[in-house]
Parts: sequence; structure tokens; C-alpha cells
Amino acid sequence: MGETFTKSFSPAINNAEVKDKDVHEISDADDLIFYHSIRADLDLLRKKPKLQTIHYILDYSKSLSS
Amino acid sequence: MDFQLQSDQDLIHLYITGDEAGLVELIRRYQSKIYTSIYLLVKDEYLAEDIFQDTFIKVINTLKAGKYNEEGKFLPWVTRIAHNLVIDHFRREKRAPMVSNGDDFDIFEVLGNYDESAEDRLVREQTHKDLKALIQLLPSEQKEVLIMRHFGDLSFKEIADITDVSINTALGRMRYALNNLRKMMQGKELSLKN
Repeated sequence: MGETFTKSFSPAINNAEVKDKDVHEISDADDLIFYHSIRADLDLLRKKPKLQTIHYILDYSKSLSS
Repeated sequence: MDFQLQSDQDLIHLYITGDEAGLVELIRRYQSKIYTSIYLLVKDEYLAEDIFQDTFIKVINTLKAGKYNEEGKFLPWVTRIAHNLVIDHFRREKRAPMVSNGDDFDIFEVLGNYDESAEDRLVREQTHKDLKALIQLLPSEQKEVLIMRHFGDLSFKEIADITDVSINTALGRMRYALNNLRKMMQGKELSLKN
């Protein structure tokens, strides 16, 4: 619990990081190395919804405007 | 106008003032993060589509009603809505998220690497199936933090707010999630090196 790391734990630079700059993320070196080793693989699990779902949402929105 | 350069807040303003393109860009920007977070929690493609849809219907209704007031925090706000809908679903079902090794996940959809050999591709496909299955084996609180942190790009403070725990608890859950994943991978002798 004694070791700290901050931004290096995060895969992306975003505004959330800036807001959290004073938050120490406690972990050990093994956790950090391990996270970096699986990060790319985790990214490959990303999926998108079907276009049909997006169209439904947009149609719903338009229906409120008309 | 190049919508990709607009801030979330600008896009929300555009949308509220009647320009549907604002919503289109917000969805384009965050669909993967939000959908993947939902999908990995519910482990069902059709259910994830439904919850994603319901999430954005709530978003639209709130924006149109002029009730959105979380300036600059669009993604955490939407993630919170999605998270609550997932919880509602499991409450209705009266069961915890099930551990499942469903085969509905098509890794080739996301790999996009068709140059590798058939053998390499099979190894890679199996490895990612294993990784996905191992994530599902994590206790739900740990899985939730890992998914929101990695796929939702949320800060630990935002995760803590959404899950109603302290930042230290959220951090601790992430630590345990990583530790448990590592141990499970060692146990399975699973290597993610390509």
C-alpha cells in the first residue's frame, strides 16, 4: 500500500485525469506493470452498438422535435 | 462546422437549441465506451443494445426538458444513467450478473488485423475470449470498477460517485481486480503477449 502512482496508470489523457491530479492511486509496481501489459488487449474488447440502435435513438430524438 | 472539435458542452448546447447534429456527434464520440461498459456488465448483446438505447432516451428526455446541469461531465453522467439501468435490470431479474462464457462475441469484429496467420489469429482469438471470460469471473464490484475505469475512461473520483463508495474503496477494488486477474491468468498460464 505504500507505493503510489498517478497518471501513468491511466491509458488516456482526459479531463478526468486533470481533475484527479491530487488523488494518489495506490498500487504496487506489479499491478502497474500488469495493467500496462493487458491494456492493449482490453482495448480490443471494445464494441459498438448496432447502427439500428443508433438510428432508433436519433429517430426518437427527431420525433420530439417535430 | 467541424463537430469533432466541439466540446461536449458545446454539442449539448447545439442539441438543446435544435441542432440534431450535436446529439449525433455525442453518440459517435462515446458510443463505444458506453456500449462496451454496458455489454461487459450484462454479458448479453441484445440486452446491452436495449440498455444503451434506454440510456440515450433518458439522456434525450433530460436534455430536452432542460434538466441537464452537469456542465462538462457528459460521459460520467451518461455512464451513471447506464449503470443505474444495469442495476435496475439485475434487480428486476433478482440475480447477480451471471458468469458465462457466451460465444456471441465476435473478436474479428474488433481485431481488424487480417494479416496474421490463421494459427496466430486462432491463438489471439482464444486469448481474448479467455481474457473476457476472466473479467466475468471477477466479483461484480471489482469488475464494475475495472470496466468503468478502462472502458468508460472515468476517474476514480467519478467511479466513487457513481458507485456511492469512497475513492479509496474504488481504488482498492481496482487493485483487487488487477490482482485477481493476474492470479487467474497465471493459474491458466494465459499469456497476452502477441
